[in-house]
Amino acid sequence: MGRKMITKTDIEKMLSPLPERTRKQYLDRVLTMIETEKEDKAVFLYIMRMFFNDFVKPIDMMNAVSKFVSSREELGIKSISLDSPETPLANEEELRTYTKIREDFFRMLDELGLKDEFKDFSEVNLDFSKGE
Amino acid sequence: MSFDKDRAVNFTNAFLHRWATQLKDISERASAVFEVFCSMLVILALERNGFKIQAQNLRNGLFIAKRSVWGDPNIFSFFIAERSTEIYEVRQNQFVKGCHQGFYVINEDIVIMEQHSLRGTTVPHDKVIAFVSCKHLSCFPTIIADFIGEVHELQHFRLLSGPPHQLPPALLLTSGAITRGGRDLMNSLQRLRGYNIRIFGSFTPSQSNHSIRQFLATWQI
Repeated sequence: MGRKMITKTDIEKMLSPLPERTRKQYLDRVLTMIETEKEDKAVFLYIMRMFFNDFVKPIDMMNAVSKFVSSREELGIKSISLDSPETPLANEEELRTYTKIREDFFRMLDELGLKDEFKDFSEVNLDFSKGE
Repeated sequence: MSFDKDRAVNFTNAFLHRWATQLKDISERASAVFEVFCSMLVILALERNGFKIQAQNLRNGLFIAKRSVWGDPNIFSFFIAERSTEIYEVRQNQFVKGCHQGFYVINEDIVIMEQHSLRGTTVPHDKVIAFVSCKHLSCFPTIIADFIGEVHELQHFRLLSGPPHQLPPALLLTSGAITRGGRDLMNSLQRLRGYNIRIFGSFTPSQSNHSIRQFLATWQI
């Protein structure tokens, strides 16, 4: 007894930097979690998993696509865009920034004692060789 | 050590404040990024099956991936895969004409099709070698059932049991993990019913890359 329980107010404060629509989606999911899960740590783990899926996985995929393309010079692809030349998948500057976000995310997990839960994702090492 | 809730709230809030703009950009592009990532893995799988790959319709070195169902596929970039006499096009977000009565088309995220088989903006179902549905979601039974519906409407012969199928399996790739119910359904479809499909969950980069390695090792074309 006496342990502080995470509340709706805590979650609202925590997610306040997110855009309205995203914040509402997150709130709906986390509040359901609060109602069924009593452990604060488990609630945070759930939140971090959502962040991981929405933010970190795409960063890893962008990096993987970029590395794959640069490993296939013969294809003549300098970069990839989505639907139009004005929408790059991610330019070099963005990728550098995203790498910092990734590092920051794992630093946060470490601080919260949740890093072990994401052990398999702390590093990425895809094999792009063509094989024989 | 007990979990400090207040500290965790402050930490998370600071993280979101620091990167708010970038995180919004990333999450808005996430499903498109997953499709491009899956395309790259399909290309890698084709290479490992002995195909030589070329990129087509580049614009000054820019590969313009078709992200949505809209637009003429002829103006977007795509890949050519060639092995001896086999020449296929690999296109993203491509309409495929259904195999049953009536005129209807279904958009597939990645389509491997015979070269020069586009008819306007669609490809006939009998010119499709394989197709891939990519979902930036967990793999739960409803997602799988949706996919089976697509297979039924495009190439229903993949759902017949009997002699081994000639074409490579159609694919459902999900970035999220396969749920328990999803796994039971998947086992029923692949093992018990012998459908010509394969499902891979957790299809994202990781240290072990288990799902991706399994895909590259077992998906034969």
